Amino acid sequence: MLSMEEKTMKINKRSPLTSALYFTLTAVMLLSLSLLAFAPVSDKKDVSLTKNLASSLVNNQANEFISEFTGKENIKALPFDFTAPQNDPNESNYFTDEDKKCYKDDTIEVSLWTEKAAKYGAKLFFADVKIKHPSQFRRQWSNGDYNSTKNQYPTTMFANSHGVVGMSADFYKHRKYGIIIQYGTLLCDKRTGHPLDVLVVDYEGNFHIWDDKKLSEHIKENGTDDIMLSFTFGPALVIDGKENNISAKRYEMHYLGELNQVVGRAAIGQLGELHYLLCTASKPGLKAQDIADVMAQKNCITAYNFDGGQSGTLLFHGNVFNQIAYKGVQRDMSDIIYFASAE
Amino acid sequence: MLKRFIVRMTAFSACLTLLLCCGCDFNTTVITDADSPDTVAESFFSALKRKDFDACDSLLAENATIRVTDATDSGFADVLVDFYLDNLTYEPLGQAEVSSLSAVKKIRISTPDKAAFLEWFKSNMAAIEKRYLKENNLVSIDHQNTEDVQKVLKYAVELYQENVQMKTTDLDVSFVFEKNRWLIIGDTELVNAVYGGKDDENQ
Repeated sequence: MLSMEEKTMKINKRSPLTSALYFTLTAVMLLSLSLLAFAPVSDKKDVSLTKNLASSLVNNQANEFISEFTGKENIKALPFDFTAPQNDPNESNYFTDEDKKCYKDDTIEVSLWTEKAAKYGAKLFFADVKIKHPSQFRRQWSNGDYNSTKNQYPTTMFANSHGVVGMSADFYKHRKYGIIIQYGTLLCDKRTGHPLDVLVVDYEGNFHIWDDKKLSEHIKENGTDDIMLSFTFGPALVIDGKENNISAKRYEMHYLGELNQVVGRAAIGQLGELHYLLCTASKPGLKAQDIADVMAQKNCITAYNFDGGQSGTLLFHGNVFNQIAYKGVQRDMSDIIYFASAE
Repeated sequence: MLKRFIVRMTAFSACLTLLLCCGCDFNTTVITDADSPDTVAESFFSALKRKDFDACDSLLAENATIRVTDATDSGFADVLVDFYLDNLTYEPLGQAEVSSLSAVKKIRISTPDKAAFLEWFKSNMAAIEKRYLKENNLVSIDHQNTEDVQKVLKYAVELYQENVQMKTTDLDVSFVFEKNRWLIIGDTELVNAVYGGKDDENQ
């Protein structure tokens, strides 16, 4: 057995060749390790792109649908039913802008003004209305009930509606025919046999002028689920941006509204998406064709004639804004339309 | 001494060989017809139709995934996935072209057109809500309540199923041979084609 000293001596006596071999092998080993550690890896695709792509794509799509449905400005819709909003508009949101009376909140913008129609010698009263959601365009019945046997002043119905702006509408109780729909409920479906223009409002708040025969067929085939409101006084004043010809044969039997007489008028028009124009005329008034001209000149895409004369009443801030024909006295009526705040 | 030297050298060589072999990729397996890109594509889309995402992902290269994790909290992303995959059809357009360790296969995918669906939805939104309310005897829904919103959106998908507008995309699916099998390279084109159709809106 060799002693430590002898072993050490033996190691120290290692031949140069052996030492060189050991050195070389060690160097090779270290070089191999370094190559393994720092060798360039193959060019791999960024897996994070494909790993998350499916999720991000579909989630973005889902958010698109959700945003469309909930509204980018998170407007809470009013219910599509026969009820009126619970509260009056915020008093602090009323203001005057030069010669216009206005109301503005995050959901509705209204301005009212007066013009003199030099061409016709009549006084015109306008309300420009912009809303955020179609449910803000509503209808109020007298006594809050379609079947009520008693009429009410427009100001009374307007007060009960808690609307920002309103106007007399169809006065449907004055006659027993027409196609009246509210939030998909068919309230009246009676045709006279004569052509009648019906104003149909869909759930996007867009106006459509349909012949009552066409509407009747639509109801038979599709029901009324896609119709928010319908009105039956007529006639149409503007269709697809063009003034309607009220003297056409179709209107010869239209005995409502004294079309060829100069009387007070009331009209509603659509200017754009959720953008509307209300108009009443008096002192002395207009023929139906003239109010059609007025609404077309105001760039209405669609416009419709409501009950005028003493019925024509434009309502704002709890009061009558226009000058009602026949000594300014309101007429008891069956319904108004109004635009409400959704705040 | 010589013996000791030989032992040391042998041990050292074994270690060195082991180190060198780590990370090496030996392509010595024979590529059989059972593993062909055509078969892999067929398996992938069959699994996709079954919504077997584990099986799909096992056929994708580089740890990619076709699975969708719903981050909307409304559950609607999951509804969309079901909608796309329930209506998806796949058609191979010829055999795969194989070269060395890569392959390309032309396929045709038909899936509901997301753009058309969104357009339909936007145009009919209020009517859809109204119909939903009526069928469920509700007066209104809270648009800020995610659960309510998800129900109406799901209802919209059900309505749309009656008349789905489809989009057809022809694309080249790439394959790579690794880990002894052909795997699909899951890229943006494939994902876009599966979920809503390939168009600029899906980028």
